[in-house]
Amino acid sequence: MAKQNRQGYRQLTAELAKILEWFESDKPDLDQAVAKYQAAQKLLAEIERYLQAAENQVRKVSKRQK
Amino acid sequence: MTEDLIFTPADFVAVFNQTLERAYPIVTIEGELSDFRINRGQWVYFDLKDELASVSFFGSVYALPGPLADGLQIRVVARPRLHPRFGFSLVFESIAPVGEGSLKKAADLLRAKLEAEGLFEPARKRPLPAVPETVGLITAANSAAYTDFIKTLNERWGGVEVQLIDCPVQGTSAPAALVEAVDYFNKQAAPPEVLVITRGGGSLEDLAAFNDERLVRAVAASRAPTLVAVGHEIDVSLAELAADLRASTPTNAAALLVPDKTRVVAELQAQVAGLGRQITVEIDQLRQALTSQKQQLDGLVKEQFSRAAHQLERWRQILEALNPEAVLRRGYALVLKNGRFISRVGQVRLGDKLKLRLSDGLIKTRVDEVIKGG
Repeated sequence: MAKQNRQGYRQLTAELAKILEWFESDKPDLDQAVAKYQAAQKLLAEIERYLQAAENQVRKVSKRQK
Repeated sequence: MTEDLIFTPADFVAVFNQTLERAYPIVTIEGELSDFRINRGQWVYFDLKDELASVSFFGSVYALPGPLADGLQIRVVARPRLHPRFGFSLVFESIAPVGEGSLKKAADLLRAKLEAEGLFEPARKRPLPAVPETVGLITAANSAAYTDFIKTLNERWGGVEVQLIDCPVQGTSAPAALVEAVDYFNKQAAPPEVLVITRGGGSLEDLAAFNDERLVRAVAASRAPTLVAVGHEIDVSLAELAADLRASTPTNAAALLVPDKTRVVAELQAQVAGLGRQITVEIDQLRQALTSQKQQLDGLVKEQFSRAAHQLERWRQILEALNPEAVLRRGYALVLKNGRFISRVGQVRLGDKLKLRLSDGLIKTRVDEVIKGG
């Protein structure tokens, strides 16, 4: 689950953060901005899907493992 | 029968210890601490007394719950034994102050000691990851604290791997078990990103493990950032003070540990919507700029057109002025001789036939006098 999480939420939000940074940096090119905006919407939808589906997992560490 | 038995001192010690081992392998004694002393920073000696008796104890500093002082009421778990050279003693395994007064005094002593060492300094606090992927949870698995923590965690976030160590959180075995759990996680090649140590509220005695020096030090020394939550609002335990982050309850611990996914999604939606607005603003600005440029261009074209029209009019006027027809209309005449224009009197002789071109026709005439300079 955690591995799935690693490839999921953090990766998706990192990609989204890159796009947000791009918009904050230079005067963005309009053609590129539209493409990036569409990519951001897609990422957002994926994040929403991920957060709806992801479940926490409890793994009991046994004394023998200790 | 026993009168016939003759022991050597060593045999007697061995038999006596065997008997003790069978009858009282371990005893718990509660009394007032007196004559407490530590030898060479390692060996601890003290007596426990009441109005009628006093018994001596011996043990290692590592089994102490923290600094102690004479007069404290304590409960000691110990193994009685007869030492071959030093006589009877009780080797203590654990010590716990008992009663609110003693617990508070012991906690105050430990707090002062650890504060002096800088263990609770804000500068030591590390931030917890914004969204942990692995969490080491140390609590009693059958407790309300565990249920509350997991419930809130599940409500707020998903995708976390919780590694649970089911651990007693009160009683004499709790401090060592809690320390063992903290150590276990920290010895992993990849420890969990956060350690959460939690339990519900209780009396000062119930919470004593969280004021145990060994646990407080283990929390402070943890490689993984720590979040300690003891459901007790009034007194903050020393383990909480040593943690990177403190929560007031197990529920609060989960709330501090992970964000609320609904809120996260809403914030991300707002950010992405902001990008859309930014693009709209860009487009509007471009449109305005284009409109402005078009207006400028229109103005320039109009101005050029007007200038050209003006110039044309001037040329028209000049041409009009130069037009021979116009000159003729003003009363001048063109003089032709043999079909060619002449402009000097020297070009004619008496009797020459001339044609005079006026604005509206010709006059044929003959020269009957020539006057120069006339």
